[in-house]
Amino acid sequence: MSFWQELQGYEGFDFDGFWRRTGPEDVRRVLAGENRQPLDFLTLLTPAAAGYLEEMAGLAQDITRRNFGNVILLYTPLYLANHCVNHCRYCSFNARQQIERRRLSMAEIREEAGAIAGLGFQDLLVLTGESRSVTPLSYLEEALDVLQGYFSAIGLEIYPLATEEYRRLLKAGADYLTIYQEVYNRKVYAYMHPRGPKRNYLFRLEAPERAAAAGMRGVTIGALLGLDDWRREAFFTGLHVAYLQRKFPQVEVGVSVPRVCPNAGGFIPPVSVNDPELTQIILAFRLFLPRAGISVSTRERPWLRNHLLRLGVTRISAASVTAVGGHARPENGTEQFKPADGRTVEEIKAAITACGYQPVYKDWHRLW
Amino acid sequence: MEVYLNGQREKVNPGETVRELLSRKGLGNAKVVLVYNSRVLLEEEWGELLEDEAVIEVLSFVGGG
Amino acid sequence: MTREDRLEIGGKSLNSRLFVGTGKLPNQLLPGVIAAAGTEVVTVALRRVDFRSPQENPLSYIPENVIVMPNTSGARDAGEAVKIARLAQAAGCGNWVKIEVITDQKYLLPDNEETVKATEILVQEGFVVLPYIMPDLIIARQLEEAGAAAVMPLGAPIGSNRGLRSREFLRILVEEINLPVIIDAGIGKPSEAAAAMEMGADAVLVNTAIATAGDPALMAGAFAAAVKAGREGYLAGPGPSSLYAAASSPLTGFLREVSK
Repeated sequence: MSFWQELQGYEGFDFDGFWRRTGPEDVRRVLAGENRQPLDFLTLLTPAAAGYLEEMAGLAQDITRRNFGNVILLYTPLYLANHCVNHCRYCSFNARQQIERRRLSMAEIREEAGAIAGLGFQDLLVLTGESRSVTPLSYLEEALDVLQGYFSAIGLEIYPLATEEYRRLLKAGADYLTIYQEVYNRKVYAYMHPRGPKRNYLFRLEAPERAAAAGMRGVTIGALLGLDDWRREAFFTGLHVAYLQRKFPQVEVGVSVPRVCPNAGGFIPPVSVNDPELTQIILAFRLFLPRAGISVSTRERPWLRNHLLRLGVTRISAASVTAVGGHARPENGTEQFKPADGRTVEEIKAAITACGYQPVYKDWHRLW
Repeated sequence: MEVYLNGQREKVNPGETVRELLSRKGLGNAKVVLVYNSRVLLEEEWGELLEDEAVIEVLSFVGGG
Repeated sequence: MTREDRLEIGGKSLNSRLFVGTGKLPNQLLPGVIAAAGTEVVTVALRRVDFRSPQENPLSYIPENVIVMPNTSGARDAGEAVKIARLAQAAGCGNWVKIEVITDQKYLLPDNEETVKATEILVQEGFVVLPYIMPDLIIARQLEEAGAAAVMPLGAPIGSNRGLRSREFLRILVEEINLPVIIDAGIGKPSEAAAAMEMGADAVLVNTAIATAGDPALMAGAFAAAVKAGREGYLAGPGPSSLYAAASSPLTGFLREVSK
């Protein structure tokens, strides 16, 4: 039994009919209720709910403050390597891109870690492409060993692993796992991932629960918004979070809302997700998942991020460099995407403070 | 001569007053409400003579929510 | 608390928001319970005297300054409730009355329609009427119209100790009715009394939970503390009594700005 079974339960569900049937009174009922169920969540994702963003925002802000306090956690990514055997149509690092491939040496990792920690960060998200030959588990273990000396929490955003492999990385110092399904619609998934091991939909879908079963402290999941109908994708993402929370009550399950960014491949997203729609997704997540962390990355503009801060977001990245080794040597290589928020850490902290929140660098410290 | 007292038939003596009946039933100085032939009898009226076949309800306060 | 926070009902100004029912409570325990509860209103019932085992009148155990409110329990329609109220008044019980009309003997749920009729009559006769009802907004509005002094909706069936089962409907009454709302029946634990007060109820009536406690006086004190805590919690914040959290300034107004 995995999330796959739950997902299959919605095979043939009449989503279009649901959008048509749902009216303002349904939205109001859901807003007035507590303990929201999957179809309540879906109601909050309907066109009808778009007329209730302000009401949703009030509730979302309330719920977030109650569960998380007035605190925003700052994290930053570190790209260890951009080698990748997959052919994801939307990604700048895909195997077909003619870009310079780099992998950081341990000395370079130390240099990057020093530069990042020097900015104050304590929560690091480590990324690689999918290449078991260039960035095998042993490389990641070595890297984690180096990084542990600099950070109090280390997340991994890497290719999906087996439970036993997650256990190894956990032992090496990883604290949480971030892995996006990218797109829950299986047909679209097949189209977006024409070649490479990432074609294995189920192995990726079940990665978060393998990581949780291995003992990871937290997992963060998400759908890449723009690859398919965002209402359904957000719905499946929320269900996935709820499933993980239910099955692994000790694990902190978070959700992220990445929108597809312009990138080196010139990929045009089939679906556009505008700012109000992104806002609706975040609010619906918060109302359905009161205790899930919600991350917004530097894919989003400063103006938008400043406003989203107050609506349920609990983690934002800052000073992101999406090229390999770009912290210590800014002139380096191709970026995975161009960060839309290029503010310095200090500027972002000031903006968070101005919104009435406290920016924090760490909410976790591993003692043993 | 008989009266109905809280639904039970009760023998009374000719010339007996309401107060005497209550006293005989052990309610001499208890605070009760007395309904005599559908009329509330105030305490100052308890000297009235009992009539044959009178219907008397004696109520008292008890604990209640 | 520095601010004056009193409960005004029927021309009386009360300090305590805990009403105590005396059912199932031995008379000897009454003074201790009343003192510990700090209550200013207690309820009693009127019953036919059982001549085989006459019971002592609880009134002699209730301090002078406490309002004794007879209920009309036993009444099965408006007419009987009116009669009982008049009898109680004749017995020297003042003019407060809790209307209780019950036909359903399994759940002891109140008959709202008969309760409205009895209220209309007794208000005309000068009683201070506090009707015990199912939490129904339409009925509560009729009672308000009829001149009731307060409404007493139930949290759960009498004596069930099941808490605020009717919470959503109580909340609606609290929001919509311009009379004191006193949550009666079903409150089984101090935390539930606190929850009722936090929700914005004006007072609670507790009987079974105190009477059947291992130490009724101790429990009465616990309820007093809970009612005070809940009330202060309600007064201290905006309270969760409104359907939507209202932000001081729009949270999503930015979406209508020119995007930056």
